[in-house]
Parts: sequence; structure tokens; C-alpha cells
Amino acid sequence: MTAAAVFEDEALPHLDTLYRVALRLTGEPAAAEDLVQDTMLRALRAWSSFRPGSNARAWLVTILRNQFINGWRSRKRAPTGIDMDSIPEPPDLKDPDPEGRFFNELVDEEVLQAVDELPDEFREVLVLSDMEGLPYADIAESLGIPVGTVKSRLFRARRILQGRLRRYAESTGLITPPETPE
Amino acid sequence: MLPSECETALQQLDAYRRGELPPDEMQSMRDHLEACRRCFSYKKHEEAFLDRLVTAARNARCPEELRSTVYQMIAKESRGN
Repeated sequence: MTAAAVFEDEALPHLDTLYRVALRLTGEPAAAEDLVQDTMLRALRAWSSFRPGSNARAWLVTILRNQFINGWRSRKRAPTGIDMDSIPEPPDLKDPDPEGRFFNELVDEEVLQAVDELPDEFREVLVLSDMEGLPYADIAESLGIPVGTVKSRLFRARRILQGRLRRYAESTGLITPPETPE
Repeated sequence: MLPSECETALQQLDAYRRGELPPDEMQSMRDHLEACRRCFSYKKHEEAFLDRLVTAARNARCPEELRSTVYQMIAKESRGN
């Protein structure tokens, strides 16, 4: 089996993941396609450095992210600012829809737009963990940060995103906001 | 202010969902979720949120044209070597 054939077997099953991660990082389909192409070319040329038996998906995601940081991030739109003091508390039983049934009423575009509006450092961990299912250790290695930082960023990312989706659901009448006392 | 057992449950929820807690802590978590309506409700909320994220992500697939381009690129590179 040639190296190219082994690469095809190992790397190509992860094209969907790479495209989705690229889409969330760049924010636009054409840029995501270019980023995936760049990533696959670089991965093919670096294939001899891949350790057989290790996680090819995490290896490819690391290359994709490095490509993004080195060549793409500067072209991306300005990140949305986050007021860290405004990160909401988890819902309690007094909130409307405390079990989050409204999440299912949202359409994909609304969910993905809210994900895209997260600052880079939060969006990265949320996409890799909660949308693509990478283990914390692989994410930590890909991003070059400790596992504890992955967990704390993920916690904040979820809170920010949940708060935004909840406010969106309230503004569109999917759920009724809690009554404020007169 | 949450009771300390609820604080612990919220902190451990992710590891519980992934089945990564030691057996005795998995059991303590199950017991707490059965007894505490707020934490049970919170767990449902997190699951609804995470399920929605996965569904939104999975509905996006690599375009066929990009897939073909990558195949062609690999073929071209391997011919060049």
C-alpha cells in the first residue's frame, strides 16, 4: 500500500469534521473550503510525521488550526466582544422552560450563528468538544493549552451560548421571559 | 447560593455524562439526581443544549466538489513523488 493510499484511508474519513471546524473558524464556506484544501495538502506532505495508531482526526484538526492561525485568522471578521461579568447563571426551576426544550425549536442557522459570534478561544473548544466530540486531552494538545483550561473555556462558552440562545428564544416568543416584579 | 452537594453535582455533570467518574461517585450522582429536582432539571437542560449543538453540526457536510478536489490533489501529489 502506498503512502498516499494509507493517507486516503486514514485522513479522508475526517473531511466532514475538518470542513465543519473550518466553517466555524472562518465563518464562510469559501474560506472553509480553501482552509481544508490547505490543511490536506500540508497533512499529506507531513504524513511521515504521523504516528500510526494515534488519533488522525486530532492530528488533522491540529494542522487545520495552525493553518488558520498562521494564514487565516487575520482575514477573519473582528471577534464579538464578551462582557465576562454578564455570563448568565444556569437556569433554575423558576425560569421558563428550565429543561431547555426551546433548544429544539431553534433552527440550525440560529444556533450556528450564535456559535460563530463566540470569541475565538471559546468557539474553538466548544466546536471541538461539543460539536465534534474530541476528547479533552486531544483538544488540549491541539490548542496547546492545559486540560483544565479546556474545561474552564468550555464551561464559559456553554454559558455564553446558552444565554444568547435563551434571549433569542425570548425575543422571538419561543419562551416567555420571567415576569419582573413591579 | 447553591447547596454544596448541588455545586459538586454541577461541577461533575460533564464527567458523569461521559461515564468518567469512579463507580462510587457515579452512584452518588445518580442518587443526587433522583433526589434533587433542580439538578435533574439542569441535567436535562444541558442534554437538550448539547444534543441541539450536535444536530446543528452534523447537518453540515463537506461539499462533494471539495471532496473531489482533495482526491485529485492527493493523486497529483503522489504522482509527483
